[in-house]
Amino acid sequence: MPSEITYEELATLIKTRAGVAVTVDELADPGCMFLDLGVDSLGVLGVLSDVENRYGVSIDSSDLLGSPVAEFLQTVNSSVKAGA
Amino acid sequence: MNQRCAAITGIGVVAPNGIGADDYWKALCEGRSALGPIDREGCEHLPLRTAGLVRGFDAEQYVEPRYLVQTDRFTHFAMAAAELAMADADLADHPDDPYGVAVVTAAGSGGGEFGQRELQHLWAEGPHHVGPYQSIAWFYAASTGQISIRGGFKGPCGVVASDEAGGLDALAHAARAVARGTDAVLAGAAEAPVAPYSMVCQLGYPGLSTSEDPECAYRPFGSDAVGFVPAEGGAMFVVEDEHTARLRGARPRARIAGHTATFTGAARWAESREGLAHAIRGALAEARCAPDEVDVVFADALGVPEADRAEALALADALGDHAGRVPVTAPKAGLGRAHCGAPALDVAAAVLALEHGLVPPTPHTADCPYGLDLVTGYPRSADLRTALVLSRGLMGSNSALLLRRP
Repeated sequence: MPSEITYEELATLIKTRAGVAVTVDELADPGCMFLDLGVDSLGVLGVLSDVENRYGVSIDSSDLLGSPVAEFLQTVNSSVKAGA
Repeated sequence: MNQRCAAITGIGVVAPNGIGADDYWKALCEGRSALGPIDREGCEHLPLRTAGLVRGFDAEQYVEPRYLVQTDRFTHFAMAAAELAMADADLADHPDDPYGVAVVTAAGSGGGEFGQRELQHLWAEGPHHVGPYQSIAWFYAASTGQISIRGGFKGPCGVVASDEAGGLDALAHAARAVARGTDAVLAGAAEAPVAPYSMVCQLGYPGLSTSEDPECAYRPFGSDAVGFVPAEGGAMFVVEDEHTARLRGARPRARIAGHTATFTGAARWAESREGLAHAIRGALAEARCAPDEVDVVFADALGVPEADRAEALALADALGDHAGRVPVTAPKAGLGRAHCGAPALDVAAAVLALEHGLVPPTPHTADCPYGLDLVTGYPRSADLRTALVLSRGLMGSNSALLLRRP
C-alpha cells in the first residue's frame, strides 16, 4: 500500500465523497482552500474518514477542517506514515 | 396601498405518472394509473405490494453531483421540482436581494433510503464507516436547506412537519410570508417513502392496502375500497405577490385565497369529519367564498371506508346541499399517496384544472355510495373559478386550501 496520498488520489476522494470535481492543479495551488472549491466541512470530514478507514489511522480533525489543502495533505500524510 | 395577494406563478411536478407539469396533466386527464408492483431491492418480502413509483427519474439531470452525494431521493425530487417551478415562473437563483426569496417544504417520511444505507454501514463495518452527510440527509429539513443553499435564498425559510396535510400548510405558510413582504417563496413537498426501512415504518398503518392488484389496491370512495397505497414524488411551487409578479412579467396562475388547518387525533376518522368541516369553513371564510361558489373539490380520498364517509359528511356539513352537486375528484387514486407530497400534487392538479376548465377523473373507482358527484372515467369540462383542496394525515391533521383563478 502506498504510504503517501497524492494530489491525484485526493482529487478522486473529493469527487467520490464530496461530489466535487477538482483538478490536480487546483489542489496543488498553495493557497487553495476546500471551501473555495465548493467542498464544505462535512465533505472534508468524509474525505478524512475515508483515509482513516483505508490506512487504519486516526487523525485529529479539529484543526484540519479549515486548513488550506496543501497543509491538510501534509498533516494527513505524516499521520499515515506515522501509523504505517 | 394594495393588500398583497399570494399567487402561484410556477409549478414543478415529479410524479409517478409524469415529470413536469405538462406530462403530469396529460396523464391525469387520460385517467392513466401509475400504480404498480413494488420491485425495489429489499422490498420483495414485505407485505406491502403496490405503490406509485416515480420511474425514469434521472436525478443527475436536475441535481449537481455535490448535492447528490449529500442528499436522499426525497430531496432529489424536491430539488428537481423546485428547479422546474423556477423555470416555469422564470425566477432566477441568486437573486439581487437574497432575503427576498424563501423556501418552505413539508416532510413526513424523511430520507429513509439514505439513512438505511448509512445505518447498514454502521452495523456491518462500524461507526467510522458512517458518512458525515448522514447528519443532514435523513432530516425533514434537508430539502428546504439544500434548495435554499443552492439558490442562495435567505428569506424566511421553514419546514412544516404537520403530517400529510403539511403539504397544504406549507403553501399557506408561503402565502403568509408573501403577505408580510417576502418577494417569492418556493413552497411544496416531495417524499420518497418506498424503500425497505421507510416501508417497514408504514406497515403498522391499519388503512394500508396490501392488495397485490394495482387495479383494486386503492379505490377511494368506492364501495369496494380496501385502503390506500403509498407513492413517491411531489410538487413545488413559486408563490409570490400577484401584483409584483405581474410587474416582472410573470403569470399568476392561481391565488392562494384561503386556508385552515385542524387536528382531530390519529386515525380517528369519524372525528376528522368535524375537523375537516371546520378547516373547509375556515378556508372559505378567509377567501370570502360562499359554499356554493366552490367549483371543484380535490378530495383527501383515503380509501378507508370510515374515512371516506367522514370526508363526504364534512363536505356536506361545510357546503350544505352544494356538497352533492360540486364535482369531486381524487386523481391520487391513480398515483398513490406520496404523504406530504400528495396534497402538493393535488394543488398542482387543481391549478391546472382551473386553467384548463377541466376536472381530471378519479382512476380505479367505479361507484361512490356517499352522495358525492365523483368524477370518474373521463375528465369533465366546467367553468372553474375556485378549487378546494383537502388533505388529512394519518396522525390526525386536517387541512383545507382554497385556490382561485386570478
